Amino acid sequence: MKGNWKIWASSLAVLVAFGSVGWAQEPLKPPDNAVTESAGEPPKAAAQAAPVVTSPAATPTSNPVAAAEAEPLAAIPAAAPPVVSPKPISLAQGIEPTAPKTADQAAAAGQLVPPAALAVTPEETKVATSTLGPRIMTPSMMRKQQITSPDLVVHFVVVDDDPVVSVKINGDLQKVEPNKTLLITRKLHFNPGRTLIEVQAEDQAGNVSNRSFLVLFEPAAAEAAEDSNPLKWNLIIEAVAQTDDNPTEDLSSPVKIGDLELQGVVEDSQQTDQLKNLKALLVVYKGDYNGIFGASSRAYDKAANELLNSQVLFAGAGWKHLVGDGFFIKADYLFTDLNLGAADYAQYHGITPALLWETKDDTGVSKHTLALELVTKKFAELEQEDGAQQGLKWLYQQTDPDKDRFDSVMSVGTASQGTDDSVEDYLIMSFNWHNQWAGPFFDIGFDVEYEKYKNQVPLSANTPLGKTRLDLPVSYQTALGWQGVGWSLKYHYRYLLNLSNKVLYERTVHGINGSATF
Amino acid sequence: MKQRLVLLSAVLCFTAGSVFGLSRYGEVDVQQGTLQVLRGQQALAFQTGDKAEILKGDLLRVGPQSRVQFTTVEETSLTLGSNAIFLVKPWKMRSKKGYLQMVFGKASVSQKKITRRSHRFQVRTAMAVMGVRGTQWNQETTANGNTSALTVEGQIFLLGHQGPEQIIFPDQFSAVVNGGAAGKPVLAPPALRQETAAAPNLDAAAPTSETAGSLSTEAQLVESGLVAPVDLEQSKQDQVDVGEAVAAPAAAQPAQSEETEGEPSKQDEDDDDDFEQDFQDSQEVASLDTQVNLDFATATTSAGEESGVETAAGADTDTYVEPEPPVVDIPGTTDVEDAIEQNLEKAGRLNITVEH
Repeated sequence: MKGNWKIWASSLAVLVAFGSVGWAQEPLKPPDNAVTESAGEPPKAAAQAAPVVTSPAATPTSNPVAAAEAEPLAAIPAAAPPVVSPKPISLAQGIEPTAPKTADQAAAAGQLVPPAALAVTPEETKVATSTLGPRIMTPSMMRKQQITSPDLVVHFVVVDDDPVVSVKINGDLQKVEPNKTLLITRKLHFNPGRTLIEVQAEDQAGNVSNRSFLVLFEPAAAEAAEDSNPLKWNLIIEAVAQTDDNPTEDLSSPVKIGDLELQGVVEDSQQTDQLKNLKALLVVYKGDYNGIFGASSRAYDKAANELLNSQVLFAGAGWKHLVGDGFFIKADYLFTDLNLGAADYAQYHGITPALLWETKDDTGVSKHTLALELVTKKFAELEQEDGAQQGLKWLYQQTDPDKDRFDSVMSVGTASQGTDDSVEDYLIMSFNWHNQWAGPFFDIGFDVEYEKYKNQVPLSANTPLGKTRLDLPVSYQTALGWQGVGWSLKYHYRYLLNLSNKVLYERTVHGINGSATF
Repeated sequence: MKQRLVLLSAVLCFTAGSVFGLSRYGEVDVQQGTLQVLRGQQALAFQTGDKAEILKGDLLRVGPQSRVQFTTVEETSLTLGSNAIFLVKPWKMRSKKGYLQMVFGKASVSQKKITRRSHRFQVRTAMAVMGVRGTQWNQETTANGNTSALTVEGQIFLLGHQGPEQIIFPDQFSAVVNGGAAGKPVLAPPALRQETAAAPNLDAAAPTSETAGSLSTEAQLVESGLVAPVDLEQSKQDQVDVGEAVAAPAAAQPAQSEETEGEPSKQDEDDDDDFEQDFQDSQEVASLDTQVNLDFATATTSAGEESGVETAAGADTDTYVEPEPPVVDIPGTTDVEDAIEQNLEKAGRLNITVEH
């Protein structure tokens, strides 16, 4: 209860104090323009930093925070003209005493006097008594420029050693309180063509200065320059050198399935081969549209594996459009020309319409993509009819603020390679984690697939895998590497085991993968 | 009891500041001389030993023979030299944006720790933008907006209204003059490097002096070939003729990789939201002040005059927004592997033996 009393008393005292500050501000009437100094009170937020704005009732202090605490109600009566009382500045600091004339003039005018007016060097004094006019400066404009929007917010800073009493912009007199430092903010609207902005400032001594700015506004040029979706491109080159211990997906050892004894056709010692893969991908994009062009070449060292070499060319176009808060619709088309063993094999046409949801919160960015996969396949060999693939795919990606990423893919559908035997129903699940530090990264993931070939007879029906061919490929992959801006180098390892009642094998692939993005 | 009162007062004052849109941008420590801060309709004067908060919207004018330490919310530390003038107002230029605008003078900028947040610190002048890519640099802006920078440690970027941004490495310097592109950085003369390393001269001439339009390193810049004398001369002219050639707008400058790499953090997004709100507020406040009718001053050029318009690349694209690259699904190897499997099966992959 005692503690509560203290809290209530504290709150009451503060509210009273705070209310008083608010009361003291009420008589203030801000001027019509953005010009600086006035005879009013500091705004609330400035109350804690009102160091040398003093009145007869307020003692100047060198610590503005302390001043605010000690005298939170150091309100200056609205009618009393405030006077600046800066701390005495010693000559040891190299600062000359106040120029009496300037200070007196300002005090007589009842205005705040910036310290520069009270502490000028001999050189400054010389300048102050010169016939130089006020200096007109701006961080917003140059001597001449072409703008891309008809509206331009401009800040003019006008300084002088005497109070600046008049500022005109294109002859239009601005409302200013005479002062040595003025800040004038204006939003200017330009008609097409050339516009000359002429600023004129005059100080109390009658010195006048002029500065002009040329502004060119051409809507056509502005539209071209303001194209917020310029055509951009990236070229990605990737080279892979790896050891494949079972490129033919052969049985490495005799296996018994039901009443079958299976034996691979390639000697274990001869299975391992070196695979080199080179990929290039050009991506161009502009706004909602993108296009890709690429090529991939895979080549084994051994002549016996020549039929496994492949060359792939592909080209595609995509469209992605924002239709709501984090909700996109997109569609991609991809053409693929596939050659195997230096001979034509097939051409694919794929269309992938999709919906994308993207959310951002404290945990990072999440993306869900739901896509239809529609592919037609035309094969070079005459005995193969046109093939097709229809599937539904769900991709999920979660990226946290540290760039660590998890992504998963679940895909279900049917596919064929142009023969009755190749018709399959598939379900693919893939889960991958990418752990990124400043440079190094570590990937780990695994895939599980279900592929049922309803028109294929298994080697044995006497297995738990059913009476038609069923493949259950399970793979585990990991990678360790280093990633910089535009490049990455990694060592990767993948183990694959295909549990099948017809094509049973295990396979390990590992090697070095380097990529660069331009 | 007193401590609680003071604490509660501070909280309420801070809240009041937020309500009125006067949010904090940093704090200053007047190490020597004087500092004047224009805040709304108020002029606040500070002297040696004073410390104070700087709010968005403030105009800082450093007195003669003064030094002011200015620490911003981006954790960037600036030493403002004599007669320096800075404005804390949100700005956008090409793909850059920020709060700090250097109107005049010299400053030494240092970033003790390079973080993603520190990359958000960028300072604009009339002709250029500079930003953190390193740890320390010195910069100077004249009354006409000419801007130079010299890197002491690390690296910084310098971007003019035209041309690409330039990365300035240690002991190199560059400049933007007469609204052109940032010059390709070159090694600063030994004398200048030694002076900068020992004790940078941050004392600028008074903004009202005749030399306020000149960079202190003009001779070195011209000698190094960074600046053409004719551009320097033209930039110092206070008057411009309506018929003079004007550089055309150019493609926007892409954002730097440091800014786009990876997904933005929640803090980044909050900062972006705050900035956009501040920027919109600044535009709206300024629009209330619109009193200038410029129509009468408009002088549309004839076709002949327009033919003199330069076509050099680069110019202001204040409203540029960096587009997000699309996610492109790169074709995988599934189709290839399927095809290989088909080929293998056609070739007779398995040797099947049936034993009884």
